[in-house]
Amino acid sequence: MTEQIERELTEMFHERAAHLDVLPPLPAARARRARLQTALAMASVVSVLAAGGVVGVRLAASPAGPSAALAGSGSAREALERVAEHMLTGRWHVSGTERVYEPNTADPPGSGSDKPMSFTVDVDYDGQSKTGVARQNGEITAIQVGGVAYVPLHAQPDVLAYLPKGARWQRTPFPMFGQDAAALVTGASAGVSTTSGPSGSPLGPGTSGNGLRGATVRRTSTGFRIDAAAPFGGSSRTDVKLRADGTISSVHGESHVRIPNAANSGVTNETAIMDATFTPLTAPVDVAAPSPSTVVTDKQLGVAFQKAFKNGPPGSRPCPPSVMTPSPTMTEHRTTNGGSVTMTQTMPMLTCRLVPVAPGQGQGQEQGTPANPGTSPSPH
Amino acid sequence: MSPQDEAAFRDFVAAARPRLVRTAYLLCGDSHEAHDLVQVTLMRVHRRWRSIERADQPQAYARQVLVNLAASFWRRRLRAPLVALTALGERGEPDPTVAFADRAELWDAVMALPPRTRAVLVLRYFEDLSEADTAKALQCSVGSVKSQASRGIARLRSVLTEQREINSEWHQLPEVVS
Repeated sequence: MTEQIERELTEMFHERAAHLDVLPPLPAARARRARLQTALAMASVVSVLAAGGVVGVRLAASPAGPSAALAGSGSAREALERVAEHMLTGRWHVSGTERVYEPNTADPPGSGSDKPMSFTVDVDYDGQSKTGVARQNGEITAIQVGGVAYVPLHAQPDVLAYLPKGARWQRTPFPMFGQDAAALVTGASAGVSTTSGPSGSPLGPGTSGNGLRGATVRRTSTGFRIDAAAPFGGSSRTDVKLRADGTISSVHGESHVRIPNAANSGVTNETAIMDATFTPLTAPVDVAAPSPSTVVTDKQLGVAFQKAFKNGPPGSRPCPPSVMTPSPTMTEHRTTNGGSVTMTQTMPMLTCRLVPVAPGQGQGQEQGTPANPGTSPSPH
Repeated sequence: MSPQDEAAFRDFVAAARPRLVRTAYLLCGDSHEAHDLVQVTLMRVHRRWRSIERADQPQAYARQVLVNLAASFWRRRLRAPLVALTALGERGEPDPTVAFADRAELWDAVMALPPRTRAVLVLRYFEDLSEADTAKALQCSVGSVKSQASRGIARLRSVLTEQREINSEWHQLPEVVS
């Protein structure tokens, strides 16, 4: 019997292992950078609110009483509601740091997201006027005036060429502060989607605050603790300390998140530790909306992007799909000095065969050129 | 790290990573977690590459790190049990092994074993390590490996026997025609 079980065990192990799809360490650069550009500055604040908010929704929607996810329900619920109310309607300053470990090792070197990093985040917010400003390492990363939010415009020169001269800000299609958490906490279930927040929303793709699919809140002697599961399998633990008046004093969070790459189903991981201190603001938030002539909308940006890349990157010409052929695989090596990581990946590349060119039309694209250098990884 | 060391490490990663991912998967039962565990494992291997390469045992070192990380993973899981809010829906990817339901009972039973016992079985029956090498990877005595393996196999035998008896009884039930 024992021998039979051992044999079955060996066979089962090999069978399971053989069926496992071993993913190459592929990049999640796009989601990661989107998050870095617009979301990280607020992540420390809204992840707490969102986690609380999810429970708020559950409580509000449950006719049978407190959610099973909430331990010590009465006091925890009251504490959460008080915190949410203060965060949404009060006036506060939060100063936090987020230290990222075990970084996304598949990102290209130099992109900024491939190394262990530390961010200092400062957010001033006035809930009454829905006005706020976020700074990351001293630089403004977002402002919001009267519920309308703007982020600094980061566009390549080719795209900028199709935008109004002097454009420096991008108006976001959603508020940066308050909105998501407000919707969640008030339990306005219509339109509340904690699982599909827009990419680049304050909750950000892949952050622990976005798409929470499990949250357990426990009352502690100094506040409460939130254990949550992030999308794609990560988890986070957030300890919130409260003052005697029920407002947040400080937050310590540890999260282990996975960052998906929809294009190729690759997933990379990231571990981050966040500490933040909350203090009441006495003066109004001193920030003004940027001049309209310096602001572009998402739509304008999209049109400019399409125009800029309609014919492929500058210096190239369109490559008809019929001539795109998979080439032999290429191997690329990525080095992360900060994290002391070197990874290799092998992936198929689409290349463009020589395109026949009619006389007078210039030269065709050469064989072996990556079909889309803008998105192909840069060998290191 | 010198270019030669970098090249050697890259070769090691290319050669060892698939096997490590599979072992990690058998240890933790989750393909995404397995990839993460291996990623962290490789980071740690890289930090000490020169010394472990000199000792000519990067594979053994990586395996040892992986087993320890897998144990940490289970400790984390046990510390913070998560309650899924199913009403919110999930975007998680389907388990790629769901379609392969053969031996599901045995797999479930293995996953229900204590992490240490499971690690012994994976190293012995998947990695095909000797008792001595398993003990080395787990940093324990050979006696401990023997007892863990024995307990694990006994537990699996008991679960499977019970399950097969239930299945057998089920199949012997008279068919109900409505």
